Order: sequence, then structure tokens, then C-alpha cells
Amino acid sequence: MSWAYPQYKPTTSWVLDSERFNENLSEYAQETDGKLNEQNFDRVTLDEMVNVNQAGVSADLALKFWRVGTKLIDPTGTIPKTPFTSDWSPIASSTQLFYAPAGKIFVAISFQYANAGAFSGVSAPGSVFAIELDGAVQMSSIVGAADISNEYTFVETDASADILYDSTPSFRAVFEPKCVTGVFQISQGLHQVRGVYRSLPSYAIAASIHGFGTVETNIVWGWA
Amino acid sequence: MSWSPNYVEDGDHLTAVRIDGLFTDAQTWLTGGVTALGLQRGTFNYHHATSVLTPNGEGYTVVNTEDSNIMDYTWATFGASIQWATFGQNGGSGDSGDLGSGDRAIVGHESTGYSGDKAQIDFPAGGFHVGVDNGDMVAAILLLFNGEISQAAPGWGAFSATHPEAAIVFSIQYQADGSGTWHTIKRSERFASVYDHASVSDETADAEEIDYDVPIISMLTEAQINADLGDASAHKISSIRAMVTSYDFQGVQEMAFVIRNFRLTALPLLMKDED
Repeated sequence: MSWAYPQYKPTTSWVLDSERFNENLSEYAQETDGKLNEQNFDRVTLDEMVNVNQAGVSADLALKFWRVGTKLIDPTGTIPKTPFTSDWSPIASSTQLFYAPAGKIFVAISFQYANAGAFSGVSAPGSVFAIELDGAVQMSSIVGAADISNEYTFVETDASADILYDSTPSFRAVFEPKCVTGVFQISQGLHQVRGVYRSLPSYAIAASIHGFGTVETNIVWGWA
Repeated sequence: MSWSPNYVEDGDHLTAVRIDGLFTDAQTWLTGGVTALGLQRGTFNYHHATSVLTPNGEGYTVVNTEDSNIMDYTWATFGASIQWATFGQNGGSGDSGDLGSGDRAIVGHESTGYSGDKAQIDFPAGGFHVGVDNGDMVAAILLLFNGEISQAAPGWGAFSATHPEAAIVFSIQYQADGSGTWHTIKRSERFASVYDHASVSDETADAEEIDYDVPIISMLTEAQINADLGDASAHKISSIRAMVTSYDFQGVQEMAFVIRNFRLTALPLLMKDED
């Protein structure tokens, strides 16, 4: 036990003092009430309580999620085009408003991106993508040209240019799937999450060069 | 205070039964009656909360099991180029396991260079009812997929410089009750385009290194199952799998591609459904 043992220890033939006896009881109350901590609970036991009997999870301890999803395009479809933008601009159909208690949220926005400029034969810039939470772009979530693992690959669309493809993959980045994810701390209240994009600088800027389709935003709130 | 002892008063008969009763009160509170007020703030941390996320304390993941080998999706494997029409349902008919056909195949499909695990997760004990009120308190299943397109070779026909020649298309499907129809989660369909430039360079058409990672994150919800099966409470979601195919934008050309790595994860989530 994590609390001190009772101080008053009557022995044989003592007259029991009720005050002392009550003090012993009080020690139990004072040492435990409001002060039980992780040392009083076995982690394995708690895991088993939840795992073996899922009813052991109360609703207010459990998590919540919100999601918005759209099915806009497939390979045969037409991707709606959006303009070149130097500022962060919203990804269509990715916005989710939600009311949550204070805690942490995991946000994942998965979407289909198209560089419509390249598709139409116009040299076009790539994009970077991010999560916007309550109007603030979350820099830790940025994915795009700066992300080596999924970098945008610019490919000249003029076939007569005889590009040396030995150093340039054939992946044209006309259509590419993307994900932006992040974990954020929020306060209690109404919040808004959405995906945003920003065009990379380009020497030739088409009016409408980017496209987004099949966007799915998932938000999982966890107590913290 | 959330609990206080029954104190002994002057004049009380302090019998053995009475004393036992006092300690029993304390024991009862400690063993089954500790309320939130009894806990020190910050008592529980992620060690205690890990299993709150999922019924088994963890998710389910399948990955390619032969790192050095690759999965060929060629006409040599399937008898013809797989060509996307629509993912629709099931896996079509064709080779062993009914997982590859003329229009799509499972990621991790057995081929000359690969005989490892397929991108399919079969949940234990028949799976889960999805929907917090449907028995398993699983409100949704979070799905995460990554597939690395290693190589692609579109275009044996006419070359067009101003059109994307082909795309490699992915999708996540689920199956209920351990058998029967595979349902496509349409929101999970993603595709990456590849380009035939064999006619403008010295590259051969079948050796274009791409090494591009296709990421998909999706959520299988009660609403989706209701739409597909009519009543989510009557069905257990038993399996998840990732499918792949190709699509030629000009509709006439052969297509081959190679997948090197994949990872499919399913996280049945214990939580309140706010969908």
C-alpha cells in the first residue's frame, strides 16, 4: 500500500480510545481520497478491464471522431480546377467544423491531387499542402515540394525538348495522391479543420492549374 | 470528500462485527467504489489509456514480407494487362484465390518475384460490428495504406506528349461476415499517373523507376456499411484488403507496373460516433 500504516496500534489489554481509532480510519480516508494515483493501479489489470470487457469503457472516456468525405473523381472523371495562389487557399470539400472538449486531435486529410496545368500541356508549378486548424496553418503538417519522400516532380511537357529522362522519373505528377497529418492540442470549444494548398513559384502561371478530388478529412479526438 | 469513514462515537459498542463493518466500508470503496473524485489529477497516462483506442490494445497491420522482392503486375502474371474499369465489388475472377483478374488485383499478389503476404487483414474472432451501439463499441475502422510504385511501363501504342498516358489506381475494400462480397470504399480510390516517354528518350518502356509512395487514409464507418449492407448491426466486418489496377487514358495500350513495398493498417476505434 502506498499510504503510511496506522499510527495507533492497540495491544492486548489496552483500553480502546475511540479518538485514536477514528484517527486510524481517517488516515485511510485522507491518504486515499483524491490521492489515488498510478501506483495504486496495475497497468495490466486496467488493460484487461478494457480489453476483456469492452463494456468497461465508459462513453466519456472513449474517443470521438469527425469526418467529411467526398467522392468526386476517378480516372475517367474531370477534376475541378482551382487557380494558382501564392497564399494558402482551402482544398475544396475538406472543411470540418466540430465541437470538442480540450485534448488532442489526430487529423488526417487524404486527397487526390491533380496538376491540371501539366495535364493541359501548360508548364505549371507544383503545390505544397498543409492542415489549417482554426485559421492557422500548421507548419508541422506541410507536405509537398519540401517533402523528399513525396516531392513534386516537374516534367517538361514539350515532347520535342528531348529531356534526359535518365534523371527524371516518368512519374509526371499530373495525378498524385497526398496525405497531410498532424497531432494538435486544442482547447474546449468549436474548431475548424481543413486542408489548404499553396502553389509553388513558377515562370509560367496558368489561370487554373490545380485540382482536388476525392477528399477525406478524418479527425480523432483523444482525452489527454 | 468523495468518501469518509463511519467514525466511532463515544458510547458506541465497538464489537468485532462493528469494527469489521468499518473496514469493510473502506474496502468496498477502494475495490469497487472509487469515483473520479478519488483520483489524483493526472493519475492516468498513456500507459493506462493505450487500450482505449482499440479493442485489443493495438491495430492490425500487414506488410510485404519479402523486402528484396517485388510484385509484378504484368500481362505475364495475369495473362493480360489489368485495366481499370471500376473497382465495383469483389476481385473479379481469375487466378488462384480469386484475387486477380482482368481488371484488378490485390496488392501483394503472388508473382514471379514475390510470394509473401498479401495486403489483406482478417480480423480475429470474425471481426467487429461497426457502430458504437452494435455490440463491439467500434464506431469506425481507421484505415491506413501506403504502397510504393516501383516501376511502371505504360504505352505500347501511339505516343501522346500532352496527355498522361496511364495511372496506377489503388482502393481499399472490406468484407463482412467472413465471406461473400468485397465492398469498395470509394472514397479510398487514389491514382498516380505515369507517363510514357519511350519515344522521346533512350529509356526502355519497361524500366521506368518511379519509387513513388501512394498514401491513403480512410475511415470505414457505420454509415458506409449501412449503405452497402443495409444494417451494420447485423454484420461483422471481417476483412480489409488493398487493391490495385491500372488505367490507360487512351484506352488501348498495355500497362505493366511493379510494387515493391506496402503497408496496410486497420485500427478499429473504440469511441463515440460523431459522424
